[in-house]
Amino acid sequence: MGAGTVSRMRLPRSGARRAALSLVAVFALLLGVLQLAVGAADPDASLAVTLFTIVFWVWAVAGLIAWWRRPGSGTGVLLLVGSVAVFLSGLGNLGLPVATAFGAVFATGIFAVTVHLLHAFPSGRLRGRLSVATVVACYVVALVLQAPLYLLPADAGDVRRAAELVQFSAGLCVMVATAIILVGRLRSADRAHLRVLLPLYLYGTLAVLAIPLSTVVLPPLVADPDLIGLVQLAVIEGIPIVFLLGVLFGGYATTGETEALSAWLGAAESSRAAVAVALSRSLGDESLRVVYWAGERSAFVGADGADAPTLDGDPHRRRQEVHVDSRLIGAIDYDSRIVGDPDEVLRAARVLAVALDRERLTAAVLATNEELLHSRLRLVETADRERTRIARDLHDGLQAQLVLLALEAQQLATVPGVAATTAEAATGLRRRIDDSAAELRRLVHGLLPSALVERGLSAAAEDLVDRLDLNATLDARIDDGDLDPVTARTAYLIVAEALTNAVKHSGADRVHVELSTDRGRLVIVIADDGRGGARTDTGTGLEGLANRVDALGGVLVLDSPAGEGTRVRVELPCES
Amino acid sequence: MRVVIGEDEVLLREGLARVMAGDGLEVVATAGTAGELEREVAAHRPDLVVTDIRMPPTHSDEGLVAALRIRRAFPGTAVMVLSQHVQRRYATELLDDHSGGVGYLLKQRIADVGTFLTDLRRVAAGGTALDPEVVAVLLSRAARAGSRVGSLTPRQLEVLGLMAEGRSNAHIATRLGLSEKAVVQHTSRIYDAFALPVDADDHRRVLAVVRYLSEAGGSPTAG
Repeated sequence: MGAGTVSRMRLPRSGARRAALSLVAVFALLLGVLQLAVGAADPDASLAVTLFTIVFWVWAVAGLIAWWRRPGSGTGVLLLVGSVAVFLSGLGNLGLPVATAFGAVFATGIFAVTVHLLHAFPSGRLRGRLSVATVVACYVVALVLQAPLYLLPADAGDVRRAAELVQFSAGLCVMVATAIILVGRLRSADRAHLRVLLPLYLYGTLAVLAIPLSTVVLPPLVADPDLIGLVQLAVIEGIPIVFLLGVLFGGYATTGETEALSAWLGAAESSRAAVAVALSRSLGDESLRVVYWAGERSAFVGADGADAPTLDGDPHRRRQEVHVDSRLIGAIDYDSRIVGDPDEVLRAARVLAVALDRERLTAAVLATNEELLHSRLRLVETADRERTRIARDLHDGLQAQLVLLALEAQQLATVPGVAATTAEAATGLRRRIDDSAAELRRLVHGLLPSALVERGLSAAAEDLVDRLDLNATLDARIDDGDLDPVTARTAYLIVAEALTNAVKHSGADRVHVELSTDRGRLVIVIADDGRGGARTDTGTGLEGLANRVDALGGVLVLDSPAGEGTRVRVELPCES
Repeated sequence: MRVVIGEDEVLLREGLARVMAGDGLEVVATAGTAGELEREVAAHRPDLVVTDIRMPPTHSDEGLVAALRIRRAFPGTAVMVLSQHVQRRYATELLDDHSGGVGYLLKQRIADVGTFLTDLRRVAAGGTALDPEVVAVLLSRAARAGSRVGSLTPRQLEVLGLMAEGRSNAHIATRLGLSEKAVVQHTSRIYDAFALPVDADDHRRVLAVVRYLSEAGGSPTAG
């Protein structure tokens, strides 16, 4: 699997998101243009409308970018909600009755969204009951407590002021609660996160506080109410930019969907360290750890086998266990402040389970394969040992017996005074015993070539080449001491078989044998100039050898095009 | 003539000793391992050493290695090497010092007692005895390699083969049913064909012929 597969798997989802986001962008553009067009009709309001539209667009663009680049985070969505709030509150400037009503209803909505953003950063999801309550309270303050201000008649001065005071006080309470929560988070944040959180919290909190306060504090200092409005808009405009930067560069990079992670895991040769890195990148939590369940120790251990640190004493650390077939195999330790949605970790855990199970199955298959190879090798070795034993027994026992028998037969012929016919018969007997001995010699040599035992592969190959009824040459550039007996024997059998085939089937005039070593492998090449067309599967004896080569982890290549000679090339692993 | 025998198979060792003693050779010591053989040779300084190639402890080529060492340590000691299988490489190694007094035969040749004892005496006298199987390999290699061996008549080839085995002209004549004069004629044509200088010494002549055959076959780069 390569990178191509990964992008193939991501494209459909990215494509769908791209289409959705494009639609939102076009919609935002149209809304803005519509607002500008309506606003242009009223010269007095056109500046305010233009500025509001620009702020609307800034929020919308920030939301789109955040959603596009960090699909795992809800910040983008919240920023888009904020852009809607800006748009609605900006409607008040258009001078149209319905629009003005909308503007009045949603005038303070943007503060609620900003507070929501502060509480939900960086995952875009609220965590902790206090946080949820505060944000809900904030929406109530912004939307419900706003009601008296547009429902009460304009002349109900005292009541309006009272309502304003209630809203202001309630808003202040919300901000105090928010400040407490945010300070708490800052205190428990590590240094790297603090670098991002502190400026973001400060700006967001001050922005929320500054806008209502600026209408109270600034008038004595700044005469122009338009200038005050401008400052307020500039502050509001900064909010989405600050959150976008925080999401993009704050180390909360959640690059991809769990699907992309799974494709990545499938593509990469997932070492355990790589699994943890991929998960950490996918979930945006640099402190994320993958630990493995060591059943025999009943404990979680790291990839290095050392005990994993416990979660005791850190209220923000969470552990998502990973199961395969209801069997505990490991867990993901993460920071709940950074990864807001436990479901995301659960999905990651499922992917991890698949990856770990794949790793386990691969290991199992490899182990089985290795075992199989070992057992095949053992079979070959056992067979070789058996042959060697039989050959030794024949050599030491029977061959010596035949020499002595023949000797005694011959001695009968030389006994003084023996009849000529008896002498002749005795000599004939000796010759027949010699013939049998020669037969036995060939048999023993077939089982255990003397040269191979006495001097090794080069000498044995040389002996084969010497005795061939063909113009045969040998180029041996190997150190026989480097070869173990099984390898040397297999190589010898290959040379013998290939040479026999060359003589019997190829019609070749010459044949060349080459023995060399290349990067820890013995390379055997036997090439003739015969008619070619040889195959490993048709009783040439190469078939059995191919199995033997395979058992040793070697490779046999037969290249025998019709009319162009035959070339057998074998590589065998050898210690060197 | 004093002989030391190296052979690990007890029955065969005794058989050999009996055969040699029967022909008047004096077997001064026998050995079951290559190390023992070298010690006995150093102790007895025999005229002839008869040894098996494969012996304990490794059962590889220690008999041959011992024979070569004995030739270096005690020049002039004749060596007859016996083996269950003969190959060109060992013959070449044994004849490498060009000094004669070397034999290399299949073990089974012992059974043809008369010929074997003749071979032993010839080797002890500085001649050579190469097994017909090794000679056949030498001849066919030389012929295949396109040497002048290919230009010889079948009769000349027969004579050449027996020469290479180390046989005397008289023996060759008897074997082939020729007159000794005819054999001499054949041999001198063979010398001419190989462009070898005529040598009065029979043994040196044979060595030259064997060397010619060995070199004519080409030397594969082995080892």
